[in-house]
Parts: sequence; C-alpha cells; structure tokens
Amino acid sequence: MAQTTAPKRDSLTNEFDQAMKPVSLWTDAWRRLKKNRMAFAGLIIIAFYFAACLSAPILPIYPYQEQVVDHQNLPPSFHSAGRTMIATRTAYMKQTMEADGRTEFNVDEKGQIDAMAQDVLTNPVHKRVYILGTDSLGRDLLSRILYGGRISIMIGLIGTITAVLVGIFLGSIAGYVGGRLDNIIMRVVDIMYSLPYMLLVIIMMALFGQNIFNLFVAIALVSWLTICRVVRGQIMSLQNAEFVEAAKSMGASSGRIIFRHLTPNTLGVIVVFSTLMVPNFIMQESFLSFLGLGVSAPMASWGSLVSDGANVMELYPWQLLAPAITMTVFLFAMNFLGDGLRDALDPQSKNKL
Amino acid sequence: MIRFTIRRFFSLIPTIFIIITLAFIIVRSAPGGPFSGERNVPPEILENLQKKYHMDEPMPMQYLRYMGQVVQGDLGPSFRYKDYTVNQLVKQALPTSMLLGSLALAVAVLFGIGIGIISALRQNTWIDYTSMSLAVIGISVPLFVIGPLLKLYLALKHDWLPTSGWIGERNGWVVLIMPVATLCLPYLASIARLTRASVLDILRADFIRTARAKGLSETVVMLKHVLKGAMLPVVSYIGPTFAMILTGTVVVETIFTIPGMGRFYIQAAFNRDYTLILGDVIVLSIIMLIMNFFVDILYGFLDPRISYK
Repeated sequence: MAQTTAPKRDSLTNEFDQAMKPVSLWTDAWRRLKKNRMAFAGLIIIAFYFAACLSAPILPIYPYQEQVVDHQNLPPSFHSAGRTMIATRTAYMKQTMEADGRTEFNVDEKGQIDAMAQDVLTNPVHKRVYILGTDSLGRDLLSRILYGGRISIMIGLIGTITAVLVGIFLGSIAGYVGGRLDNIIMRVVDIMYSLPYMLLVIIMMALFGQNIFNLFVAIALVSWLTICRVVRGQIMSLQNAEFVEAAKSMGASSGRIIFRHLTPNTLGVIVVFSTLMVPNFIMQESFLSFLGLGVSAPMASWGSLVSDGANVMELYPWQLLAPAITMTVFLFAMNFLGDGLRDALDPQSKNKL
Repeated sequence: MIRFTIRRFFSLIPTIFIIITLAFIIVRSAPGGPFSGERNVPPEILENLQKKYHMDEPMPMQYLRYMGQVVQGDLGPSFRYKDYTVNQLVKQALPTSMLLGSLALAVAVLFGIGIGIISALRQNTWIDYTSMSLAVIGISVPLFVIGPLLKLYLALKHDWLPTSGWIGERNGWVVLIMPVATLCLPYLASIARLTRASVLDILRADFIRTARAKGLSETVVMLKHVLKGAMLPVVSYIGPTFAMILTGTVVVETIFTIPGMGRFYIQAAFNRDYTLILGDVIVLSIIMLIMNFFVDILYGFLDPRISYK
C-alpha cells in the first residue's frame, strides 16, 4: 500500500489535533471496528460460536446421534438425567391420576416409579446432564445444536468462499477485458438474476436427493452474481488509474494486472459483502432444511432442528426455542459485524474516530 | 418512455422461455419419474401410461409439445392428481397465495417506509435506536422461526388467534394476521432500514437546502422533495422482495397449513409431477417478472434523471 512509501512526518494530526501515524487500511479499519461496540460484541460472539463448534468433538458432550430411549423429551435442566426423568414421568402420572379422580398412585404406577429409581441407581447413563434437554429420540440437544452449527456455519463459509472466488474471477475478467466477453458474462448474470432462484433450488433439492454436496451446489450456483457485478464496476473504474498504467509500462501481463494490482483494491467492498453473505447462506440452508430438503438424519443443521422443534412445540417448547435462539443470536452477531465492517472500511471515514 | 415500456415488456418473453427451458431440463434430468413410485405396474400398462402422457417420445419432441401447449395457455394434465389439469389446480391455489403475498408486501411497504421516515427525522433519539434495533432483529430472525414462535405464543399459550386455516373456514379474517405478520416482518425491517438511510442521504443534499432557502414550507419540502427522491432505492428493493415473498409463502403456507401454491410446490417435486412443477415455476416466475417490470417503469416516474432511450 501507499503508506509504506509515504514520507514520515513528525507531527501528523487529524482534525481533532490527535497525533496520528500513517496507518494501513486494515489497521485503521480494525481500530474503528473496536470503537463500534455492537460490531465488536458481534465479533466476540462469532468467535465464541466458531470455537464451540470447531471443538465439538473434543468437548465433554454426548454423541449427537446417540439415542437413549429412556431420555426422550427431557426438559432442560442442570440436574442428572435420571432425576429429571423421574420428575417428568411422575408429573405425567400425577396428571393421569387426577384425571381419573384418584388421590394416590395405583400399584402399577408405584411399581414403575420404583423400577425407575432402581434403574437410575444402577445405570450410569442416567448420570448424564442435558443442559438444553433432549429431543424426541432421546438425543442431547446441546450436542445436536453444536454439530448442527458445524454444518450450518460450514455451508455459510464454503458458500461465501466459492461465491467470492467465482465472483472475483468472472467480475474482474469482464471488467478488464470488456467488449464481447463482458457482454456475454453480464447477460448471463442478468438472466440468472431474473430466475426465481430459491424456487429452482427447492426443486433441485427435491429432485436430486438431499445430500450436503447437492445442497452446496444449489446454494453456490447463483451466489456469485452480486459480487461479480460489484467487482466488475470497481475494476472498470480503476482500470485507467496511474498504477495500472505503470504496471503496463513495466510489461506486466493482463493476468498479473488483474489479480495482483486491480483485485486487491476491491477487497474492502468484497469483505463487507462476504460478511453479509454468510448469514444469508446459513438462512438459505436452514430454509431448505426446514422444508425437509436440507441435511438428512441423523445429521442436523440449525434449520432442521428448528423444523423438528416446530413440530412438537406445544408439548416440548425447548426443542424449538433452543436451536431458534442459538441461530438467531448468531445471525444477529453476523449482521452487526457486517454493518460495523461496512462503516469501518468506508474510505471516507479514514483516520476518523 | 412508451417505447422503452414496450421494449422492456417484450424482453420479458425470452426470459420466460429461458426459465421454462431450464426448469424443464432440471426436472427431466432428475432420476425417477411420475410412475416409478407406484406399485409394480405391469410393463404393458406402464407403456400405455407413458403413451397417454406422451412420455414415449424423444425428449426434444416432448419439449416442443409442452412449449406448444404452454404458449396456448394450457399447462397440461397433472400426473398425480389424475382428475385435475394443472390449470385447475393453479386456479384454486393462486388467489390464496396472491392475497397472502400482496397483503404482506403492502404491510411491509407501508409500515417499513413509515418507520424509516420517522427514524430518519428523529435521528439519534430513542425512537430511532429502538426501531433500528428491532429492524436488525427482524432481518436476523428467519421466517420459519418467527412463524412457529408466534403460533406457540399467540395461538397455543394464549388462544388469541386460530393456529391455522384460511378465510372461509371457521375463523374468518383473523386467520390472516399471523401468516401476514410472519411473512412481512423481514421485509418490513429491510425497507425501514433502507428508507432511513436514503432519507438521511437526501436530507443532506444541496437541493433540499435550496428548497428550504427558497422558503418552502417544511411539509412541501418533505413530501415533494425528500420523499420522492428517497423512494428510489426502496422501489428498486420492492421488485426482488416480491419474489422473495413468493418463496416465503411456501414456508408460511407450510407452517400455517394454508391451501396455496406452496402446498403443491414441494409435493409436486417429490412426486415427480412434471407438469405441476413446471406449471408452478411458470406461474410464479411470470408474477415475479411482471413485478420487476412495473418497478422499472415506476423508476422513470420517480427520478427525472433516469430517462429511458
């Protein structure tokens, strides 16, 4: 960047008379991002999510696909599963008892409670603690949410990376070469824009089967359109800048000019777009999973967990609330970070607070 | 302007053709067929079935035949609902989806613009902060989370609203509240944010200072100068929004069991009901394209700098 060659002055001040050093784009953006409390909080939340989801295999949680038949639909609790199980079952029996007009458990019910208490004492599986409860197959919801987060976040990241790579590649070529190639690429983009994209993705998933690969292809298919347009516009406006002229006169090839000189200058815009794209992808994947078109069991994603939870929300509301809140907080953090980055990377606010 | 309108209108036709062709290719290249699910059909009957639906012909021939029908407005017979044509099914379901979609869009646009303007005029007050925080929530919470949550609290916990159903069934108009609220929320939030940003932008523009300097009343400045200019990005957002709302109706109809297009959409794809899937895609795309078309035309009225030549 230009700052490295700028002459060093001793007293460089901004309009608030604060001393300032020549800073690179990124240091400056980072400084301003730290000042934006909401965006920084978002960053910390996202870092926490990443750490939790990445370390899921080594965390002391139960396997996400393991079903314990006795532990179906247990509510969230910090007590051991055995205790919660007995409490839930007893409460249920009390209900039937009152419905029958009895004041005491009958022999059969007493027998059941005793058997459960005996089982709890002997079977180590009842020592488990389900902080977020269990689902209808007796699987640990916390573990499922963490592993579901791995899938959801991975799709968000991979989708964004492909979109960015394809978008930069096609966009910069269209912008730099121009002419007929530009025309062809942009017409393709126009047509893809006017397609009812999610409707076609839904059809594709229903027709070609639900596996992660198809899901990923379907989502990545049109994600690059906006980036492609933005990069093209940026490149076209930068094309006649002096540094391109200089590179040309030194005999740099077109490929080198595009990818070493022009694209780095569009990075700010791309970073902002990408952070706003990740939540979009996660939302789309969950949307498909909600319709039953995403990942297939026993794997989970946030969307499929919300969908499963929505089916039983009358009786076991935590199965809906836990994944829904987890996911919403993440999307929330991501959106705040994106907004913050947009402000931080805005060239007009350079060296301002 | 008129020439542009006509040209823009005719450019819709190739797009529709591309959409139909693409959908046709996707649908037909998928494994399985409409008759593969049924119990072991003897080969002779299968042959007859295929003959009846012209599936024994080579693919290009089928494509041309289908295109010929579509041009005449005939979407063919449904493979699954054997007594119905796709036209009949669409005719039953489309009004429901359209009502849901347009109500949601209307609510989103009215309230979104209103909230956006108020936040912009009261910038950096608590009104601004609250409504913009709510807007971020609206954008971050997916439709399929809002829907079940609303249902859980308003219908199941408190019994204020019916859980599902549609007008003409037991409950009358109140059934509309939850689906419309669910469907419009994310778009309402986006429109509010967009409006706020663009009103703030325009308020700083030179022509507003000029208008005030001329001594125009604040009402005239707001209505004739600020609002007209500020609506531009909002209008361009409405086109794609309508498309998203149409997709959203698929989810909302699933959540609230509403008998609209969404019900067929996914089922038809699972059943390989070729004509019904294609029919759905065609109808929804045409609605979407027409919306975008109107948005483009509206653009010219709002911004005098845009002239279509």
